[in-house]
Amino acid sequence: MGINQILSQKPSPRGEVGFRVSDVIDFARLRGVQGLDTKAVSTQISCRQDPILALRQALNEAGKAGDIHALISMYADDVIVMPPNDTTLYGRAECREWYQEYYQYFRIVALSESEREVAVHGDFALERSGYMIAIVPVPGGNRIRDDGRSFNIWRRQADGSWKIWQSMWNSVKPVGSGTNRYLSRLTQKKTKGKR
Amino acid sequence: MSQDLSVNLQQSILNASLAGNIDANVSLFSDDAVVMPPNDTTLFGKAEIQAWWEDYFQYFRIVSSAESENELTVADDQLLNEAQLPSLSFLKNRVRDP
Repeated sequence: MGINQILSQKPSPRGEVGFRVSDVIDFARLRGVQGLDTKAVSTQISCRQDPILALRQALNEAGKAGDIHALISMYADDVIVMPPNDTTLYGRAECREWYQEYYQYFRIVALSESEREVAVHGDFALERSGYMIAIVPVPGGNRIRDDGRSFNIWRRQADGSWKIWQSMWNSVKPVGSGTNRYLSRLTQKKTKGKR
Repeated sequence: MSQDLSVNLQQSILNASLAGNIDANVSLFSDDAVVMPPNDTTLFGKAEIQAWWEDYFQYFRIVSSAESENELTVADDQLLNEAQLPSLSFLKNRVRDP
């Protein structure tokens, strides 16, 4: 019996993707599957449960690298992004501009997820995550640490790829601490510039 | 119909907030709701959400609240709702819950 058959025999009650690795491995062993490659099973299940896992990891890496092109490539054309303490961004061009400004002032030196949950519903994947981020000002200065959360809605595109369609994030830290004060200053600077 | 439902739910949330009606507000959340208010820790479940609102209304009263924009998308039995307060939420259709 192949792993695909095993997976197909264990659908979730609501038809959503959702398997616990341990359940499937136990199930396979009960069915007498020999030489089960648990790592391969885990990978396959992860892809079924979480089709955006690799993209999320790539997104984090692009963020750390300051690779704006890679970041923007993960957004849908009609993306809407709601960064904290800032105006809503509509479309890739506005997102690119936002990141260009961000990386003009900051560099991300650490980014790790403390929590992550994904639910797939048709062509939409709802992703909630908690993260720790550390940034340093480009001109120099102290490392700034923040803890935040993000909520992304990924949408499957016509070509089958997944892109971020709507996104927002914020900090758990009080106003005036974490990265907020720096982003607020950035926003204030932008506002003054438009006057 | 879904659009009507969303408008009604949004209106209920706004009305409950304006009235400082914590019970009405919390009743709109599912048992496993997750809320991420800015500059605060994540809230898991109705009890934490209730405690958060109790704390909030101890210090503040909402005198005006209006949406400038609201976009709704239906995916399976979920309402993906982007409202400009701003917030991003998805509303679960409880009728079809197992």
